[in-house]
Amino acid sequence: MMQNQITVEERDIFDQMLKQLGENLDVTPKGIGWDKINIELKPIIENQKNTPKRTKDHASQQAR
Amino acid sequence: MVNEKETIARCLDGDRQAQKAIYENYCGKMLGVCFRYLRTIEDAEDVLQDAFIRAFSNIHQYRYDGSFEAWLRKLMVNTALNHLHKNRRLKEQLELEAVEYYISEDVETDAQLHAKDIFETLKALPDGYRTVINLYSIEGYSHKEIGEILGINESTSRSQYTRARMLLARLLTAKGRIATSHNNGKIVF
Repeated sequence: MMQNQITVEERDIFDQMLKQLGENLDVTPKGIGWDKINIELKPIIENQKNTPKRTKDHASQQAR
Repeated sequence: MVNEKETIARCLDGDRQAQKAIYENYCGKMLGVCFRYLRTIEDAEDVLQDAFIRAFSNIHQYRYDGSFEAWLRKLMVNTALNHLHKNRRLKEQLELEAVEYYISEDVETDAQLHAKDIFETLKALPDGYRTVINLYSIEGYSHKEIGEILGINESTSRSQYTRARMLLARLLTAKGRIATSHNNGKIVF
């Protein structure tokens, strides 16, 4: 039995185990997919494309 | 995905195929991130969807000063925390747990503790405990940073983390995965 004494204040083997587990966790989506996201995203992206980018001149003109 | 940098650049121009490629490359890993913070897969999928929409809407904010995966992961964590805050569960539980009885307990294990057991047990923790464990142990934030993120004191984050570990140990003990003993406020692996 391997025993290393640690306190809960330190990042220890327990934290490392959780970190490794957390970083490697991969879950396949069942209830959503790209199509669902695409539907929601489409109007936002279209809107961004149609909105003229603000330049300093544009911003100062608007301020006036 | 052939070249991530190029794909991100195409996303900046609103290229749907590039967005789809990014989604397909990261959706499993990112759902894993969301699922660590939320109790049900349905909630996790809702958060995943919101976070990807936010990511593609704000992809110009990615500065290439770290990996894109890290940027996306941070966005998932923030969206999950917002979801918990919106449902008022997190703040209530952090406050409730702050006055909970402190359990001093030592844990012994043969170091063969299966990670899957820990994850399943982590899901059974109250939202507040689970959030602090996620932020500290997995995301690597300090207690000071967690305090700022959650709007609690640094000392509260520290005590929540300690309590969460104690509770985790008790739950794992109850499952017969580890043996506990009482000794000097230390946890022994």
